[in-house]
Amino acid sequence: MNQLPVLIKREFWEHRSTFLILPAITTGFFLFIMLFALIAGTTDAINVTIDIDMEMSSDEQIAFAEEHMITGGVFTYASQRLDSVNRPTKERYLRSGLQGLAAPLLCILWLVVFFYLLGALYEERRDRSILFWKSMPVSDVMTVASKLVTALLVVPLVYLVGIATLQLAALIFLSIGSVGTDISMWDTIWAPASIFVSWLQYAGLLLLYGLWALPFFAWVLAVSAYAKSVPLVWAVGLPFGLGIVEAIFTGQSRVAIWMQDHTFAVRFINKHEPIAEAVQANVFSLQMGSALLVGGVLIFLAIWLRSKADEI
Amino acid sequence: MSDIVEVRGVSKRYGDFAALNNVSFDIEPGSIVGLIGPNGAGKTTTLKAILGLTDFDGEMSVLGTDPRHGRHKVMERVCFIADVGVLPRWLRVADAIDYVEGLHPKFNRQRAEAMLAETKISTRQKVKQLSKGMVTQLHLALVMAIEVDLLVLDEPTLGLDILYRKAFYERLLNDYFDHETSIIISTHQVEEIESLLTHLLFINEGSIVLDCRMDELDEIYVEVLVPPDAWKEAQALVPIHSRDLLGQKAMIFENIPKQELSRFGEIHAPSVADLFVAKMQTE
Repeated sequence: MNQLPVLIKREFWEHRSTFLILPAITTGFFLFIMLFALIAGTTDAINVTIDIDMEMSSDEQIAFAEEHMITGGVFTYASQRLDSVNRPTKERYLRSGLQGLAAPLLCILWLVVFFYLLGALYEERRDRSILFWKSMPVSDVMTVASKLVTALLVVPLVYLVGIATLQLAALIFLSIGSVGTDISMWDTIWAPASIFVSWLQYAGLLLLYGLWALPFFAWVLAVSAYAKSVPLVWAVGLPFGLGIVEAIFTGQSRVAIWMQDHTFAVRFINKHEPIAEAVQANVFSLQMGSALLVGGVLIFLAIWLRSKADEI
Repeated sequence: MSDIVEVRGVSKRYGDFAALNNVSFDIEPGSIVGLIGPNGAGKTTTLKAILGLTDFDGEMSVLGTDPRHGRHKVMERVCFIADVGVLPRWLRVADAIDYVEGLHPKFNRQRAEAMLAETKISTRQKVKQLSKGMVTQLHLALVMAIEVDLLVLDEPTLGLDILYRKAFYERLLNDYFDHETSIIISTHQVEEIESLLTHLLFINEGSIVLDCRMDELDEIYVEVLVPPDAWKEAQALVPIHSRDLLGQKAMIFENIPKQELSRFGEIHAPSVADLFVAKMQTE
């Protein structure tokens, strides 16, 4: 009997508010803003930012906006701006804009996953429900696996749906904004945006980041299974302490940099580089190998700690 | 059929404190064992060891498996209810049913739903909306819908009022116990479960101080009401316990032939509660 689906459902029952409601509200919020921008008309296009023209200075923007301001608001303005540049620039603008739309949800996702893993094997000991979970014929390996799959696979995919919705809406609104002009929707907006390819890349990126940052997430989970109180202090404090000790005794910060690198997705999220290239550059690297190795060890630590875990 | 649980020389230490000290006992198929002891005697530790929830020294076999190495295998055939409040507060009743159904191969959904229908619990409610008694009813409904070989109850009615406590044990005995499932119940409220039990295990300060079948109890232990003129003579037979009762002394003897005792006065079997007090004070 495959237990994983039930175990993942259980995580969603517990964390409905951060796994489902929060991304839905965030997506709704930005949809509302975009919708407002679409129907608000011509008033003040520059103040409604969707990142499209981030490479211009504000004086340029104002000049450009005044020059091109027609009816239809910021999306009309943006589609005309897109129409006026060459294809690679179109692609770059659209990519920046769409990534900008994804950024809030990605930041929230990171926080949600972090705090979820921090509590995943801690709260059950604190509220004593571990005695109920452990009275089920579910192994500790399976339990830990369900938490990691939820955190690094399922929840990111849920947030990706929100991101995809926003990006799709942005392109639709751009298209609506271009109605009544002689702009070709396909050539100016949909083709250079190549949104479906971009979604696949986002999915790949998120999964890859899960592996890349496996040492970090597995560490948080192990702390969650170990700490008798304040897991946040353990999870953050110990790596910090390690970095300080390294600096004092070796005068270097290799370990610290490695830990930092495998905590945040800085290496992957580079606005001016296509996602696919960032992924290719990192997936088969020695760095990735070390991440999987350390991550694997920490996962085993988490499983072992869970098998010994009792109510606090 | 071999025993459901075999415990051999099990010890458990928390630092300097010996929670269990060389404990050995068996649980036969179809028995209802009362694990009785004062607070801190080692009841919960014993049960947790059986369930694979804690490490220990010594040997133990639960349905042929060492619980230290195969908790999830043991749990396919063992159910466990700890004292109230281990169901997570955020869990919805309907989800709890789905959860157990999805994980327990021997779960009978109809049975659980039928049992819940007899309570005031709605499947839409969350655990945090239920009273303590209702949470226990829910847990019992979930567990009783699973066909297992051993049911482990750790102070299952602690903190419940008398109505729920009575109903709990009635339900357990009438609807669940079918002489194929074994039950081990820990409690410090002896009187309530006395009539249920087939076996008695007393535990004190980490050691088993009595291990006896209920139907052998009155063979081994005899209580006599001794009038003052026979006190000296009766004391010579070394009662394990003696208390004043209406100007006489109620003495409990262990392994003394009844004919020898009947000359002092009326003999009868001691209540489990009196025996418990006797055994705890002897130690």
